[in-house]
Amino acid sequence: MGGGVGAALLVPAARLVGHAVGRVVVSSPTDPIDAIAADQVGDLPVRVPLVAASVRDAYASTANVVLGAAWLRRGQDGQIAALSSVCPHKGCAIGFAEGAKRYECPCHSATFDLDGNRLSGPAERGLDPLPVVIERGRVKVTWVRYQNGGADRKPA
Amino acid sequence: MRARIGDWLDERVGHREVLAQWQRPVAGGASFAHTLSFLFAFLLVIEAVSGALLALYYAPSTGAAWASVAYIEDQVTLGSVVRGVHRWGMSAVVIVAGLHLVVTALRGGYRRPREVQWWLGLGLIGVVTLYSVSGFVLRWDQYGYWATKVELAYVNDAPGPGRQLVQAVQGGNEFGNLTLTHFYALHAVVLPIVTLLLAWAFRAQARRHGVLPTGGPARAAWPYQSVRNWVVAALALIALVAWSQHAGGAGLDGPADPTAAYDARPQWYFRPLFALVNTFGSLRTFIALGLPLVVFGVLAAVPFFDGRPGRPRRHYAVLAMLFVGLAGAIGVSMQSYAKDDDDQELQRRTHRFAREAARARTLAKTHGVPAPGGLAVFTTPRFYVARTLWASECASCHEGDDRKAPVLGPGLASRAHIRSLLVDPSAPEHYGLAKKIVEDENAMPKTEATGDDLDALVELIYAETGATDVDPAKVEKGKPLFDDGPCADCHNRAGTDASTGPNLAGYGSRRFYEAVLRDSGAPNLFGKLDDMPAYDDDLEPNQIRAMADYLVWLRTATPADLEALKPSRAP
Repeated sequence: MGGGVGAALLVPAARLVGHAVGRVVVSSPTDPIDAIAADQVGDLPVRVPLVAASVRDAYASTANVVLGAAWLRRGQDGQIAALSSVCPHKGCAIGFAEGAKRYECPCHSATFDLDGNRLSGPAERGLDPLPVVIERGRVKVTWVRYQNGGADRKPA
Repeated sequence: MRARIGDWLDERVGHREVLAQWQRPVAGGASFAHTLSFLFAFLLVIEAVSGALLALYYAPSTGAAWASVAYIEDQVTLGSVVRGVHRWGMSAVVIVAGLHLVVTALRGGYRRPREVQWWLGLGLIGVVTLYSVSGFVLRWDQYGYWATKVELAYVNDAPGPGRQLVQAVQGGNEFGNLTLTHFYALHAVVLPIVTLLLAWAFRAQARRHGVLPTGGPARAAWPYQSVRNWVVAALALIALVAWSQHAGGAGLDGPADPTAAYDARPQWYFRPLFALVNTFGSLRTFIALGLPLVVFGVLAAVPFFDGRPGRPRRHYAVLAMLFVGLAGAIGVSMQSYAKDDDDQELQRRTHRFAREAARARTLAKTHGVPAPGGLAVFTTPRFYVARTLWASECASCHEGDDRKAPVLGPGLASRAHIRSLLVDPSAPEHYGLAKKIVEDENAMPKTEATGDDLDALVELIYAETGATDVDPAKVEKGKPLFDDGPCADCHNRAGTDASTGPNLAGYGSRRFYEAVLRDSGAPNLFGKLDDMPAYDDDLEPNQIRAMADYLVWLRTATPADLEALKPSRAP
C-alpha cells in the first residue's frame, strides 16, 4: 500500500525533474552573426564576442545576449577563418598567447596552434571551427556549440 | 504560581523529562573532544540563518543573479558581512567535519556498534561538499560560473547517465535561467532537508550508543559539556567573523562572461582533485570523479577492516592511511597554489579580472544593472554609445598622431578652443592635417583681430554653442566685427545658405553636430572642402544624437572626465 502511494508520488516527481533532459531550453536564431569589419582581421587572431539579437532562455526572452566568442584570423590564402573560443576539453574559454603564438586554455593548460590544431594538453581534438561568410565587407559568424570531450565533433 | 504554570505545561508538553536529560550523568564524561559534533551543528545553524538572510535579497535568474549579489555585497546594510560569514562558514563546516572524522578515527569510533553512525557521518561530509558546488554558481560571477562549468563538464563526460544528470541539474542544453533556479532549489531547499534527516539520524545513533569514553568520570551534560560546547562555539564564531573580514568577505568577481578566458579554480577543499587532475594526464576523468568515490568507499569499509578493539596494528594501519591521505592532499594542494602564484601570466590576468570586477561593481552601484544581466553593466556608463562609435568610426581621424582632421577633445568649442582656432586655423590640432582644407585656395587665414575685438569675436561664436555663461555686451560688439569683416567672406551666421566655409549658426550645439554627422559636405557646411564620410545612412538616428550629445559635453569636459569614461574590459 505504502509502496503504491510512494510510486504515485515519485513517478510524476521524477518526470518533472527530468523535464529538461534532452531539451533545448536555451536557444537563439541560427543565422550568421555580424562580428567585425573584414579589413580589421589580420594574421594574428582577434577575439570577437558573438552577440545574439535575441535568446530564448526557458521562460525569458532577452535581446543582445553574448553567446560566446570567435577567434578570427586571416590565413596564408587570405581567407578569414573562425575558431570557437570554447575549449573542446571542459568548455572553458581559451586565450591567445602572443609570445608563443598559440591558443592556451587557462583551466587545464590545453594548447593549440594558430589553425586550432591540438598541440598539447588534455583536449582530445583541435579547436572547433565556426562557419564564416563575408557580406559587404563585414565578417559574419555562425555560432555552434559542440559537445565537450571526444575526438569527434558533435553539436551539443 | 510558577510551579502551577510549570505543572500545566508539563502535563501537555512533557518538557521536564526532556530538560532532565541534561542533568543525568553521561557515561564517558565531558570533554573538549566532544564539542566537535555540537560545533558542527552550531555552524550549520549559522549557515541556515545567514542563508535565510541572504535569500531575502537574492534573485536566481541570469538577469538578476549577479546584480542581486552585487547589491547585497555593496549596498545592503551588513550584506557583505553576512555573505562573508555564509561563505567561510561552509569552509569552517568542512574543517570541523574533517576534524571530527580524524578524532573519531583516532579513538576507533567507527568500530562496532557505531558503524552506521560512522556512515551517517561520511554522508554528512558528502552533503556538505554539495553545498559548496551548488552555492558557488549562484553568484553568477566569473569565479562561480567557470568553476561550475568545469565541474559539470566532468560529470557530463563520466560514463553512464552523467550527461542526463547534468542536463537535469543545469536545466537543459546550456547554462541559463533554469541552472540558477535548479541550483538555488538544491542549495536552499533540497540539501537542507537531506542534511536535517542525516543529522537527526546521526544524533539518534549518538544517543543510542553514547559518546566515546574519555576515561574521565561520568558527568551531567549541563553544565559540564554544555559550557564547553558554548565556549568553543563562541570562539569559533569570533574566529569565523575575523577570518571573513581578513579575507575580504565572500568576494564577488565581475559578471559571468562566456567569452572570457578565465582561470577557473575550485574551492580550496577540491584543490587536491584539481592538482591531481592536472598532474596525471590520461587518468584525468577517472581521478576527478573516481577518486572521491574510492576515498569514500575505503572510509566506509574501515569498520569491516578494524571492527573490534584489541587489534592495534589494524588501527594503526587505518590511521596511517588517513594521515598519509591527508598529508598528500595538503601537499599537492600547496604545490598547486604555489604553481599558480609563480605563473606571471596568470597573475596578470587575475589582476585584470579584479580591475574589471571593481569597475563592474562601481557601475552597478552607480547606474543599476540593466535587465539583460550583469554583463550589460559595461554598457551603462555615460556616453557608452558615443564612445563605442568614437572608437570604431571617429578616432582614426580625430585622435592620435596619424589623424587627418582636427582634434575633437575636451574643451571642444570652448572659448579657449575658438580663440586658438581663430589665431591659427592651420595649426596641427585644428585643420593643419586636413590636407583638403589647408591646401585649398580658400583655406582660412589667421585672424588679424586682437585684444577686445578678438574677445568679442570669440564670444560671438561661443554664444552659438548655447552655453549659459555668455557675455551679451561682447556678443553685440562682435556682430559688426563678424558681419563687416573678413569672416563674412566665407561664413555666415544665418544657417542654411550655401557658403565657402561652414555656416556658424548653432556652432558647437547638438543641432550643429547632428548636421555635420549626417552630411558634413552639405553646401551650408564644409561643401567642397569636405573630406569626412556622411553618416546619414550608416548610423541610426539615436546613434547620431548620442554622438552629438557627447560632442556637446566635451565643451565643458576635462581630460580627467574623458579618462573616466574609458572602459576597462579584460580580454
